[in-house]
Amino acid sequence: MASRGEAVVWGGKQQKKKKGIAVGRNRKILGDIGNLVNRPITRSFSAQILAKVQAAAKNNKKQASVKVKPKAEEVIDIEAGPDKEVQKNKNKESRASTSVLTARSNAACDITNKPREQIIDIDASDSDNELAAVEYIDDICKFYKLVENENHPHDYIDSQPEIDQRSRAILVNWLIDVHTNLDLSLETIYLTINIIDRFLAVKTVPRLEMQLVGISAMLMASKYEEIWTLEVDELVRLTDYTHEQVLVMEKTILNKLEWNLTVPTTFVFLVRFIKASVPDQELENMAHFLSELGMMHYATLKYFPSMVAASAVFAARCTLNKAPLWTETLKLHTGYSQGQLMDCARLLVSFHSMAGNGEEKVVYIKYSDPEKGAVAMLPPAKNLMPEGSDSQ
Amino acid sequence: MLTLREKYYDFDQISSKVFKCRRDDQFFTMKIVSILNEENQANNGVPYWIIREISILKELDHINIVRLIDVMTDGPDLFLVFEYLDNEFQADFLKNPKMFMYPQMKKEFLYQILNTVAYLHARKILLRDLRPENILVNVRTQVLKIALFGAARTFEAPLEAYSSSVGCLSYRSPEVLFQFGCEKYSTPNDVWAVGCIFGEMLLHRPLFSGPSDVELLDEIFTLLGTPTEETWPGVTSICGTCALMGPPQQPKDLAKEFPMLNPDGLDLLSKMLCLCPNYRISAEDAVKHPYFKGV
Repeated sequence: MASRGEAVVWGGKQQKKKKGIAVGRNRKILGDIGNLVNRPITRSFSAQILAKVQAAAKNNKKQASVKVKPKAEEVIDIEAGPDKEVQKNKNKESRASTSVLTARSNAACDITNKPREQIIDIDASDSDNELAAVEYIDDICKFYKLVENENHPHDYIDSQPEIDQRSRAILVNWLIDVHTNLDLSLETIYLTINIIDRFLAVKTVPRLEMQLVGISAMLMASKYEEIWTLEVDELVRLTDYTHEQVLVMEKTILNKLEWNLTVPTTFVFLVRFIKASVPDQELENMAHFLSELGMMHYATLKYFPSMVAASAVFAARCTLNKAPLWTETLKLHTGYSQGQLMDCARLLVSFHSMAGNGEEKVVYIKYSDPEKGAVAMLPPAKNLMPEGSDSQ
Repeated sequence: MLTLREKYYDFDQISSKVFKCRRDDQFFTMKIVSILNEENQANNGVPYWIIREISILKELDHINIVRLIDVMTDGPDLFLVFEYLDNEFQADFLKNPKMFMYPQMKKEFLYQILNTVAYLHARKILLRDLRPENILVNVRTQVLKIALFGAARTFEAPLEAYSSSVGCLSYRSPEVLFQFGCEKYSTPNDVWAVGCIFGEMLLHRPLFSGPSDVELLDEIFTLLGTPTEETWPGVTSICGTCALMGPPQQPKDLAKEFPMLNPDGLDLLSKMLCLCPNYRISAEDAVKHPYFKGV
């Protein structure tokens, strides 16, 4: 028996059951009233039902092991025909017949709940592409979500006598510029900033050494992520530090972080969540823009990487007026509801509204390029802006 | 912070760069790795493969992976402290004659290898250099350990281009052999290597041993047949020139090549040695294969 709110299939056609009431199909007069059973439950009939339930359970087990993509709701085919539905007994049915009839009249007037939104299998198109690592991608994301708090830097600015949020923003701005000019992968810049923040959370650094920490972190991140790693000389050329200073700092950072570089950054989640958004190029660019703005600002550190990534996608959808703003598919893959993302999304949108004004404009300039769809120049999401504030 | 000598003691040399040492009442294996290059210079700091190996190993906790306990630095040297494996653990496990005494033992070890590969893939780690030399076994306890993660790296999905000059030639997959230079490859590459090890367990010799990429491909196609657009969609665009593939060859009957294998074993082997990486079985599915019933 399909429980409340589940879909029931009649003759292969999916119908919606609203609170125990079958909607949108022909029925005998009063054929659906709660206490009416269309067929007596004889021993043989109850055995049939039991067999079906067991078969369904067995089938579900089999499906689970094959990792079938979750669907919006389970569809249970009881038997093809309205007369064969077994109704719950009246005393087990909490609804009074009056409310049943009220619901009926609502249904007749088409005042019913909309069918729940379908969850999209975002990996269907990649099932034949081994590079997409489809079998493992959900496991990877679950694992990363599980461990993201282990390597998340705590609030450290107050324990750094010579460093403030502004000096961090200046450093990140410069590093993003270097990263763009050296044509490094996005993984590398996200890991670079992660290394810097984790290091600053455990070691007091003089202001004059901030840039040294930055280039040493980028060197390490490139060794971890790139095929062709950066040469120390490429980075030394951009600064006043010596070759030796960079090598010493690299070792210092590695030891302080106990060599833990296999960490989930916002980028890991962002790629997955963008895919779950079934994006066009503009949405993808906008999500990356907002995420990189988040990376620039210390305030974003209070949120876990998965939340920043999900908020960047949500804020991007709001900015581009996508409907719906948050989908069941996104909720499933991110693990966050729209409400949970509001604070972080508002923060990212506030960064967007100020992006063209300050001195740290590298991300804004990067995403003002027509190649990136000039998404930085679009007005920030109105519905996530504080009341009465002007955009840009 | 404690120095190396304060933390560990009772050093006992096992080989030129490997020591047995003690801390409290526990034994460890210490591996010394120099960060200097051939010219005795550390021009670019800590080599990329050491950074990858250590940071990956630090995250792993699996019975079939040699555990990294600690990392210490001293000048140009790194000291990697691993769990201690006693003398019963033999490296290069296929050279161990006891390995071949019981068919069930081979199945048990194959299962452990696949289980480990599935664990790594689920943590976005490609092994890339899986070969018998990197596998240690204790025949008495029937425990297997995979060591040496120099060629391992993490991946993002969808996968980026990674270096194809990686891994021992005999265990390289056709997709890697086809792609000279830097190209994309993924988790099926590791499964192919396990398939080669499976074949080697059965035949007591390397399944493929061509000295060059082209000769190795020829050996692979001699056994498994030349791929076509039907069996491997897009293969002609991957290999660029069909001259690489030589004259078309029909696949051999694996049942005749591996008479010692039951139908389940043949099915698993053929799925692991499927030429098309898209159709190759995943490690996760391989551990659930009926061949391992009862393991």
